[in-house]
Amino acid sequence: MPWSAAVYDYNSANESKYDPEGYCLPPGGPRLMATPYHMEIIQQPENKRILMIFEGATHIWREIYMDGRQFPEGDALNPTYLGYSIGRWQDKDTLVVETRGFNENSWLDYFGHPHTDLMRVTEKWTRPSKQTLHYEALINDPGAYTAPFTVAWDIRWDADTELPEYICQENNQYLNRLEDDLGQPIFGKRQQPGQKPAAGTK
Amino acid sequence: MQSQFLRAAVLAALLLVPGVVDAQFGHPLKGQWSGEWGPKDKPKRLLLDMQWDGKAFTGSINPGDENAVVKTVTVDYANPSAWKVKIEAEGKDPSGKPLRIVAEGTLENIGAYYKVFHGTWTEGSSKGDFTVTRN
Repeated sequence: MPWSAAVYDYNSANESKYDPEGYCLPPGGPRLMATPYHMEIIQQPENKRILMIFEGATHIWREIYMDGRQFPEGDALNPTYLGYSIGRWQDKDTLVVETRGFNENSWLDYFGHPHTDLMRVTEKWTRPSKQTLHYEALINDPGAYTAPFTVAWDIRWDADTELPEYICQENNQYLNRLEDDLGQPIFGKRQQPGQKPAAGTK
Repeated sequence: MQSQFLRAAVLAALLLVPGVVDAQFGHPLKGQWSGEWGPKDKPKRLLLDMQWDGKAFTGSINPGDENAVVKTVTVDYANPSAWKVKIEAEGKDPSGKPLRIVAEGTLENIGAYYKVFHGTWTEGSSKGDFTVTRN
């Protein structure tokens, strides 16, 4: 759509400086599965849930409900960064997960493709080899894109790796230096019109 | 007594938590905006509530007694960092007569939390500058 193309152009021109993941906010949608940090998938058949723990993506976890439930409707589907995920097994070895209820606080990727809260994502995981998870996601967002589209990539499995700790918020000096298009600090105190800059500042 | 103290302490702590600006990276025009229009010595308050359904914008200006309904919104995206926006709305003046409102201006700081929309505000036969920022 024209607006989402303009936002993408704008974010590209700004070298993605407004990337919410750079602020240590969680990525939404498939980007969650593409962070360059470790993740762990824990299947809990006794609870009919799958948990995904992410070290990147701001040290968060994701719950996928496997109990055949329906999506909450109306206000009960409270918009969140990760959305509300319901999964099922297809042909025994393909995990299919549908997610709705995203908020608009994230980008689809580092390059600044936006999305809206109308977005729905259908993900498929398969395991073509012991070391490889194949990931596919169908993104359907009629608020930002004229047609659904698919992204896909492989995720490597490593049997001997532990989940290392990574805290994005720690010493994130990037945020302290970041200025918006108007030359004002994004997270610090804004200078009011007519106010003289404080000593030592621009 | 101790629990009452704890409740009071928790409440006080919550009140001290600074307000967090809500991130919004969907359509930059969507959301609530507040500001003023008219002469600086006698400005009039503005509150815009804009919703995007993927096809068109709906919304209202100054919800309440002075409510005006947004009828059309056009956006020129030619300059990705400074969108030209025109909002046309219909309300009523104090006597109940139809009042046409037109806000025409530039949307800037599109990627930041502190988005700014400023330009010329026309309300009936009155005209003046306006500035609103996204809440």
